[in-house]
Amino acid sequence: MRAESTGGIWAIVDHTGDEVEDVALELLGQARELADRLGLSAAAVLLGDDVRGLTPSLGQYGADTVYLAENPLLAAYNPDAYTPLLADLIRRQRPSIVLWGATDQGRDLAPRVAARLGTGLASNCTRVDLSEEGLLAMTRPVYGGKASCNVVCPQTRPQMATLQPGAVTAKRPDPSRQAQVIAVDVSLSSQSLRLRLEEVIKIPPSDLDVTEAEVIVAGGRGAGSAEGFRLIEQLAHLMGAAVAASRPVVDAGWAPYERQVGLSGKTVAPRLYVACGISGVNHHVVGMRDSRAVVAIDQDPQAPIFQIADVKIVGDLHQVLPSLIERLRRLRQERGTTEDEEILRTLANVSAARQVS
Amino acid sequence: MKVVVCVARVVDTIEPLPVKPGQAALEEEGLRHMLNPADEYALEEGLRLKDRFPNSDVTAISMGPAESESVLRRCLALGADQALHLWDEAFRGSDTLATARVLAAAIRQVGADVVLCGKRASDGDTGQVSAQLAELLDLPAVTSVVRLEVRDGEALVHRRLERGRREVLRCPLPALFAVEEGINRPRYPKLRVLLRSLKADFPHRGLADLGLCADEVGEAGSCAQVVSLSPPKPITKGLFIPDSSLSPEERWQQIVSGGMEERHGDVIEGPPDTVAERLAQFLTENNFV
Repeated sequence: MRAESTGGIWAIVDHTGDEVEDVALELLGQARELADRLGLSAAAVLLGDDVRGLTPSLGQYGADTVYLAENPLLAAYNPDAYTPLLADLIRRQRPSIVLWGATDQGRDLAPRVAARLGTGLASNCTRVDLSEEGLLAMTRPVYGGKASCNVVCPQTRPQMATLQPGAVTAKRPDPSRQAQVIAVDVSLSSQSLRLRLEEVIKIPPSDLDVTEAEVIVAGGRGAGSAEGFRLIEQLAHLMGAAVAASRPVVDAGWAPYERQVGLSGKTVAPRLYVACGISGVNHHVVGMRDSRAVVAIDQDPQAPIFQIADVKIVGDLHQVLPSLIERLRRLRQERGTTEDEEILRTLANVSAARQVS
Repeated sequence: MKVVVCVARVVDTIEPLPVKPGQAALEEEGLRHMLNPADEYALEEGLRLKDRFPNSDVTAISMGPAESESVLRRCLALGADQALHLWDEAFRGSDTLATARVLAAAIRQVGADVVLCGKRASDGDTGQVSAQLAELLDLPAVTSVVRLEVRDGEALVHRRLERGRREVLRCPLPALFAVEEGINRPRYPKLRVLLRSLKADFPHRGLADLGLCADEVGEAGSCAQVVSLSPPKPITKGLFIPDSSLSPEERWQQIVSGGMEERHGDVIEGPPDTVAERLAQFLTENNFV
C-alpha cells in the first residue's frame, strides 16, 4: 500500500486461548509509547475463538482499541485463515505501524501478510524507535549476531516489524484504562483452509534438544565413567529435564555430541541448569551462563563453576546424586503421581514461573 | 514429482567480519561464502523425495550474482538433477519480498509439486522469503518443518513450536515447505558427480526471461531498506576492573573468568545426605520438581 496513512499503531496479540502471552504485553507497551510520541492511537488485534475475556487486560496494558475477530476456525493458528483476515483488516483500517511478536505464529504470519500488502517487514528486531523523519527505525541482528542492521520502510505502509520476546519490557498495567472493542466480521469457510491441524504433540523432555529445554541436568568429567553418567541421566529423567554434557564427557563417548554445551557445542539458557561434576572452565560456561538459575555440584570448593552458581554444593556427585534421586523418587510416591503426570506438572510449574518472572 | 529447492549463497559468519559502522553492506573483500546451511537440509529433503519417488526431478534455483553459481554446483554435486541461476543487475539490492518475486516467477516457469526452502539464511536471518514465496505462488505452506512425509498427493508435516511442542499438519500438494536445520543428515557428494558438477552447464535467467518489470525487483521494488550496519551493542554488565585488594592468584582468576558477574548463592557443604536434602528442598521450593 503506497498511500499515506494516518492510522494507528497496532500490536498483533499472541495468546494461548486463556491468557495473553508476555510478548503481546511487551508489544502493547511499545505501541503505546510510539503512539504517544506520534500523536496516534494504539490498537491491539486479537484473533481467536471465544477470547473476548482477554480484551480488558489489553486495554490496561495500553490499547485504545481492540479489534476482535472471533470464529471457531481461528481457535488455533492457521495461516490460511489468519493471513487473509489480517491483510483485509489492515487494508481497510490503514494502520501506519504493525508490530508482531517474533513467535511461532508471528514469524510465519507477518511475512505472509507483508507479501499480500506489498510492504516491508523487518523480523526478529531487538529494538524499534522513531527516526528523525518520523519513520519506524528497526534494529535487528544479522550475520549470526556479529552485526546489527538498521532498517526503515520509507515508502509503503504499514511499516511492520516482528520483535523478539523480551526485547522490550511490558509497561505497568493501568487498571483504570479501558479499550473500545471493535468486532471484526469473519467470513471463513473450512474449505478455504488448505492446512489441517491433526494434533499438537509434546516431545518428552529427555528427547528434547538442549536448546529448547526449560530444565537441564548436565554432567562433566566428574561423572568419572559412562556408568557414573547414568546418574545424571536418571536425575534428568526424574526431573523431566534434558541431559547435557561438557566436552570431556562427549569426547569420552558417554554422551552424544548433540548434548554438548559450550563453546564447541550448543548455547543454552534454561530456567534451571544443574551442573554435576563440571568444573566450569570458560569454554563450558559461555554456553550456559545465561541460565536463569544454576545449581553446581562439584568436589572442588575452588571450582570456577561455583562463581556463577546460585546453589553451590561441595560434594561427590556419586554420593549426592543417588541420595537426591532417592528423595525425589520418594517425593513422587508421596504425591502418588506417575512419571508422565510428574513431567507435565513440572512443565506446568515452569511455565507458570515464566509468567510470573 | 517435480521438486524445486531454493538455495542461497551466504556469508560464512564463523569468520571475523569487517563490520564498519554506518555502511549498509559488508565489503566483499575477505568474506568467505558458502551454501546456506539450512538450504543444504532442504536439498537433502528433496533428494530423499527423489529416492522414494523414482520419477522425481530435483531442480536447485538460486538468485544472486555470478558467484552464486558455486552453490548451484554444490547442489548438482550433492545430487540435484538441474540447476537454474537467476540474475540480472536489476535484482541487486532486493529485499525479501523482491527476492520472493524473482523466485516465484522462476518457479512458475519450471513448475513444482513440492517447493523446499531452508528456514532462514544464516547471514541475513530474516526467515521471510519462504512464507512470502508461498503467498506469491498461492501455495499452502508450512515453515519450521522438522519432519516431512509425502504420500498419496499430500504431506504430513511436523512443524516445530516453542517449548518442545510440534504441530502435526496435513497439507495437500503442490505445497511449499521451509525446513529447519537438523531435519535430516545431508549426504556427502559422490566424487564422480562432484567432478561432473564442476563442468556442468546450466541455464541463467534474467529480468526479461522471467517476465518481470524492473520496478518490482531490486532496490526499486524493495520496501524495506537497510540504512546501516553497526557492530552489535555489547551486553553491558559494567566495566570490569580487577579488584586490587585481592591476592594475585584471585585477581588472575578474576581476569581469566572474564570478570563474569559472580552469583551469590549459598554454599552447601556436609555429608551427602544433608546436602541432598537441602538440594531437594531448593528444587521443591522453586517448583522445579
